[in-house]
Amino acid sequence: MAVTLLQPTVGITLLDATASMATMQLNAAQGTPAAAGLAAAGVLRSVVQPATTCRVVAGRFTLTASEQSPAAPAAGGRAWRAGVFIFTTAEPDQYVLISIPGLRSDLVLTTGPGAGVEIDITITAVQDFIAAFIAGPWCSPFGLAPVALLAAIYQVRPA
Amino acid sequence: MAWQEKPSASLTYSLKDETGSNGVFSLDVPADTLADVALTAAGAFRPFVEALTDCAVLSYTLSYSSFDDAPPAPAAGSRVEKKGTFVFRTAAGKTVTYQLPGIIQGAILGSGRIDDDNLAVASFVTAITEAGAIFCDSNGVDLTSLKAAYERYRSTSRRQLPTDRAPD
Repeated sequence: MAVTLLQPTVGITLLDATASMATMQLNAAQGTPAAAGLAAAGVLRSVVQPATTCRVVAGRFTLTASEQSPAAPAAGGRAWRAGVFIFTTAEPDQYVLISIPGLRSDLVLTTGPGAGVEIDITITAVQDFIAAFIAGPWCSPFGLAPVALLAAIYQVRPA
Repeated sequence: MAWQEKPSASLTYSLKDETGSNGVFSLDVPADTLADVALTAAGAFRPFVEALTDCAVLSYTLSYSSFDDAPPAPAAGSRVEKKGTFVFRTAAGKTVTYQLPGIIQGAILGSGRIDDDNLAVASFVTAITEAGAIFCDSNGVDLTSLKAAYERYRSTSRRQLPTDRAPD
């Protein structure tokens, strides 16, 4: 397992009069800090806007780590089998929801009222995943940290 | 109109199953998380993800985003399919091409060439090629000068077709 950091990219999104969108993406130097990358998106926006009839509406700085020797996927696995985990946050009625494609079929309950739907949270790998997620730097799209697992279910999510 | 940063950065794992179908697993980190910290955390979290899925992890991508919360309307008649194509030379003697959607008509000469003396075009080119600019090609080589610039139209995609295109 060897991961290579690819060249980061700076991109802007433009909108035209028909509501169609397009992006323009350039490469940035390796090691560019995120703040500098977003600042570069701002620079790009400032010089592109006078040169276009479209409207620049968003900017993005992206870094990608690519696996050089990916493992072979397990036999029988299907990406549309999703494991959905819902976590509570410190804010009432605010949750963190994550979905993992290709959930292992042996992680789903086979007995009881949750059979075929609920993920078996007594399995060590599931418990370790939940603990690692809560302990990590992860949050909701609004910046709220996960506090505890609320539900873990199996869903079919076609691509 | 205010340009602001999203409160979270997006971390996305790309996965593939045995049939070749792709899947993504998306997480968020606070926007002030350093890129190195977030990528290191993604690498550390990866084994826990792989223990739950039959898919193979191909890559993970970290994106920091900003947006205009009240953008002015685009100019009437603007079209993203009308591209300003800019070909830049790199310090390694190669070229890289970027396309600017909706290039202004005032920057286009009669032949279809883009006027590099146009102020807006000159500012754009300078921002890309000036010393100290972070922009480079996909191998990390600096972009040094403009080689060519011209108008080019790209076909309209199915999703970009007008939804009211049936006659009334």
